[in-house]
Amino acid sequence: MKLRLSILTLTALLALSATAQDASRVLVPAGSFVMGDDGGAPGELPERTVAVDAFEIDRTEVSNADYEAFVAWVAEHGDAAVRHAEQADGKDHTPRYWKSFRPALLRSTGMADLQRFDDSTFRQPDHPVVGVDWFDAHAYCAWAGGRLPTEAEWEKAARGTGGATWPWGDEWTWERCNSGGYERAGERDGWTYSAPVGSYPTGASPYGALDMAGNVAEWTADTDGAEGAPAGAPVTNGGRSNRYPSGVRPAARASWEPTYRAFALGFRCVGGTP
Amino acid sequence: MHRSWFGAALGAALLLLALFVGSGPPHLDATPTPLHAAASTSDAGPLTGPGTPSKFGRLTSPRWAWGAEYVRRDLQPVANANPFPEPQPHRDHPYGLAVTPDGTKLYVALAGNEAEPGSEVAVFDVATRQVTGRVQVGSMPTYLGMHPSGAFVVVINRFSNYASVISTATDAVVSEIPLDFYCMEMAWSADGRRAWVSNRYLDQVLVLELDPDTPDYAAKVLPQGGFDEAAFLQGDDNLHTALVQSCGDARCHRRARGGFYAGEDPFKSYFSAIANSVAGDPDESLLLRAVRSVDEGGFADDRAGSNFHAGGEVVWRREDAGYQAVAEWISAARVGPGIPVGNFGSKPSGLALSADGARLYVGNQGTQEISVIDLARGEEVTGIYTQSLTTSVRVWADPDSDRELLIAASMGLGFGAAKERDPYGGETGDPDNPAAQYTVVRDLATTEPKPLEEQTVLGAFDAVDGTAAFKMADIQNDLLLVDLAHLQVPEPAANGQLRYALRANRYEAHDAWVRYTSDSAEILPQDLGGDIPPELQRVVGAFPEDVAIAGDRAFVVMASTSELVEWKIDPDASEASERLVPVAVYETGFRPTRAAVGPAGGPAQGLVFVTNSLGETISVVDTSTGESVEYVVGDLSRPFPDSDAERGEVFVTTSLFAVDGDTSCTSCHIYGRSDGRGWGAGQAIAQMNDGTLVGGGLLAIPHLNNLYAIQPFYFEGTHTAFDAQFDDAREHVALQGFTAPNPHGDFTQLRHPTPEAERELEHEELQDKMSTASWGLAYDDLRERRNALVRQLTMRYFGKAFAFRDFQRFIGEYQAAEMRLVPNPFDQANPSVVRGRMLFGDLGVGCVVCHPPPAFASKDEALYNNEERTLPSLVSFTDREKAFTLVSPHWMDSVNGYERDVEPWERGRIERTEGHVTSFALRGMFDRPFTFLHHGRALSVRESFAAPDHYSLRLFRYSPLKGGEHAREDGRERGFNELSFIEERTYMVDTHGATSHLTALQVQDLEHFLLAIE
Repeated sequence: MKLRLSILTLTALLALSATAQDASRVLVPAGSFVMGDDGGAPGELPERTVAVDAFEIDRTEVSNADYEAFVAWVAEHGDAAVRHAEQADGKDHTPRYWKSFRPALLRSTGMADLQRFDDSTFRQPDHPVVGVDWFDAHAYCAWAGGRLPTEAEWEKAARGTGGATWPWGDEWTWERCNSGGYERAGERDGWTYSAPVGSYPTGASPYGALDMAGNVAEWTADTDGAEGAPAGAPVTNGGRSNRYPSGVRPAARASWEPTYRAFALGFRCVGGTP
Repeated sequence: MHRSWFGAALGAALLLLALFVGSGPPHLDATPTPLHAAASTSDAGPLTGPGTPSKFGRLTSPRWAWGAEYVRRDLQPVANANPFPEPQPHRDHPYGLAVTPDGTKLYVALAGNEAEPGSEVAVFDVATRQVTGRVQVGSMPTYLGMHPSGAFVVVINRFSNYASVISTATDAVVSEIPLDFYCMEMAWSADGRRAWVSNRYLDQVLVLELDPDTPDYAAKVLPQGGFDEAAFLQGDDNLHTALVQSCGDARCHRRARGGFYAGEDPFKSYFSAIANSVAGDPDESLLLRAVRSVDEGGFADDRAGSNFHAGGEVVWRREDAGYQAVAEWISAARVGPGIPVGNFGSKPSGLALSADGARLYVGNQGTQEISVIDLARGEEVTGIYTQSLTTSVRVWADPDSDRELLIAASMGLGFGAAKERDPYGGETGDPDNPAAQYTVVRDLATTEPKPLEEQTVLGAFDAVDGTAAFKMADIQNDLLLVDLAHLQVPEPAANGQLRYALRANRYEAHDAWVRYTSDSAEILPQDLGGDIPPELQRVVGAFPEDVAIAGDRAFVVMASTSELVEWKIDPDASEASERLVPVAVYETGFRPTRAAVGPAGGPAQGLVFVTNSLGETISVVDTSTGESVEYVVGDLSRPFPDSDAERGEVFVTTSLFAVDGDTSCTSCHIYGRSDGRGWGAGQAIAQMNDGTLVGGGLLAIPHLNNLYAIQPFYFEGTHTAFDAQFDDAREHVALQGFTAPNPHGDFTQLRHPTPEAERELEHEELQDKMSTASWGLAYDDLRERRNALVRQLTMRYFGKAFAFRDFQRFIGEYQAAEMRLVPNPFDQANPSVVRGRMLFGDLGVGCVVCHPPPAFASKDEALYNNEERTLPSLVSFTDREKAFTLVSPHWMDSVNGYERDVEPWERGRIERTEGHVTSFALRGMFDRPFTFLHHGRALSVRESFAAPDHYSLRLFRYSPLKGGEHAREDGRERGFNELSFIEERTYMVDTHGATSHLTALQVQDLEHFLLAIE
């Protein structure tokens, strides 16, 4: 019985993963690249040369629309086939911000009318899915026929081989990504929170990956953690919509416990060796 | 180079010194009594009592002087320096409260204020809702601790060195408990036989032992720590003998040399040894550092340094028997008489005991952590870093398990959040980077900024800011929830410093902890950062002052918005952010302060009682109906507010007029003091390469006491409090908040009645240099909108419509009433204080030049008015003005015909010719958080005046953090005096007299005197 279910699940999985792979991925060829930043935070040190195999990575962050298909699939099939071994039983993969996150007392106040967010802010179909934890990201990528990128894969996909500061090079310009700063004078990039995935084509990495700087931070597969992080905490990269230029460098990193969720933390997947 | 101004300063200093010595404040007139004289033996034996040092390793009140007998005492209010203050109505200012376990009676402390402290507790009958009597207690009763038995309530009197014990059977004082001044809160053990009392001036928690079975509930303080007197003085081979043999007979200290004595007089030797030791830490103790070698962490043979033992000889190595004996004596000592908590100047207040009685959580109001005391060990073991002071801590315990949650009320992270450095953006040191920011040094002849090539790239900010934009407008209000099962005590660092168990200085939701902030955190244009999790923006109201817990509910007093907010506690919520959910808001009277929940099963079931300190009432909130009714318990013989000063007090201490509902003066000047952080309140500015001015620095928050002495000039002279265009009130009711709808409504359609063609800028020169210039003539429309709101709100709260500019008068009168200076608790006759006083007046040190008594501040200094200066005083240019800062706005107001109610003869000044330095007000500085100097860089009193790396500098208890970053790489104090160079990160020079030549003991003496200034 168990075996039969697994085969059924696998079949469904493969069928769906083919759909998921329709979302464009970009190829990152095998080879070494410069990882880390000697001018960055302690966790980014030292700059070193790291070799990775070829892989394909999602061109954009996983969107709410993408993720909705996964949630629907899990509702029908369960997550046994895609879950991480250490994931808690009975986990709800619904993103935090798809559920109510504002207290009832405050929803009808004048203050609520002035707030820059509402129930739909973080679940627009073309925006990156946020409020997902590392286990959610792991399961999604498995469902999509891939996996989370290692930190090295992610960083290479973001900055190329030569150790560029940002995906597009070493010169900062505000219009190339969704970053923070100077909100009081008006968002230079147009977005307070996340922007629709792929909104900044001029910010593409050498391999064509988009939003590798800013928009939302992204989970990676690695669990060695940044300095000061809890033991075993997965790593995130890519900065967020509210980070300064230095904070959206691909080399910038942070880490959280695997169950941590936040409004500016999403992910993308890699598809394995092409 | 500085001969001209230095000569003038020297002359002034001599004159001031003569005045100082001849006419100091009365409490400082004690005849100098050097330690050696005070502790001299001779035929009469050792001098004891006040005037002798304490054995507890720190400066204390006279109560703890060696050999002192306890003397019951009330501190006397500090006289108003203003000779002609507007008479103020008497007020009782209800503060603390306690309800009896049967719910029949409520006791309300009538605290009064600093100028007129109260001395009564009102008894309120819950059934009849009547005040049935008043009980005479000590001075300024603020906290009421109901004994678990309900038999009596202990009244903490802040200005008295005793607590009053009221029997709940007779409503009469049955005894007094000798304590100390400035006790704050208390927590009882479950059996009611022990209590812990936080003490604000000692930075400690006193331990109290009580026998509830005696008729007068006899209680006493159990002194903690101290140096072992017997080991030093008694027996044949005592430490005194050993020191005499090693340092006195064979060496040079038969007489006091280098601040140390080891001669024949055993008591003199004892006190000298204490003065040169750090209790519990031989490595830090000068007594041993001075005699061991550099390679063993001492400086005896440090001939390359400025201090070394006479002859440069190593006296003892660690393995020497004499060294071991002294080290053991120091190791066994503990700072007392209570349990020390937090970093220097922690000012503990809120207390919460764990359900098992093993841990005591202490909310500090001077430093930015919650201390955790292991009661079995009798010492602090770790802390929770909060990055803001804590107003209240409570523990919620699950009745069905051992699960416990800590709920703490605090102000927001705001400016000062964990810094995200931006070396690729505005903090770049590369002049070619388009984001580079430069200094704004102006040509004094033309007042225009000098060419960019003559400016300096600013590089990294001194600021700490984890947000995407400067959060000056983001004064927020926080609740922190910590699941205590996750709180693991870390091992101390290798140098012995305590380490934080948790850094809760971010807005995040975790299984282990959640930090919530204001629902208004990002609603105004100037607030928006997009960096706070939306689900955590749920704190209703402003200034969470107190938390009362009952069942699964937490009731939070929001002092600045006159509200009580009910929160549901759901420890098992699947979403961490849903563990605290606001479910109801109740109105209270003016500025509520404390809350108590009526016990179940009695007439008070379902009721929450709230004291309203400005309203002179208590609010009785029925949580089942939502009804909130006020009952007068104080003095409302004159309605409140009844005077301009009282109207000013409402403006200063509440957020009722704030455009975002969050902001009040006391959001940062907490309790009239400071929040202990640097804020962008008077930012040093930078300019972009196109000349655009942007914020680039921050300032420490000054305390609001002693303002009368320096008004109207603050912040080194560039900041005035009165002008409608430029004043601090802008933060309350910022014009920018009227460019879009705000929580009070949509005012954007409102226009100034004067047609645009007829409008005139108040002063074109100034307008041209202000940020408001970008608004052009719309500036008048914005001011009209602000006035419309102020008229609405003053009609509601004051019963009469006022304009925004009227607050100039109200705030001025509030300042002039000057009811904020507090009496000093320290032993003014302590030999160290006396010696420090002499040092303060010594021209070789020079403190008195800029801080002359009686105000210990000066608004007339011209030290920076020196055209020959080699370095610009950048801090004098403020972002808020974006203005011609060499002209005081105060003076500009005078030009425009606005007269002052306070010192109308003071027309302001032109800094270019008249100087612009207003020195920091030293009076009462013991009662503020220890952040000093322009950017709040100094984190202790000693840091503010000691020279860099002076050998008197100490290890902090915790490695101090600023915004989550280590502010001191080695965890030690660093001095900020005699800086003759521009600091790498702050671009500041600092000189506050000359102190590098002082011995360590002299530095300590000077620090003690500064703390003892009333």
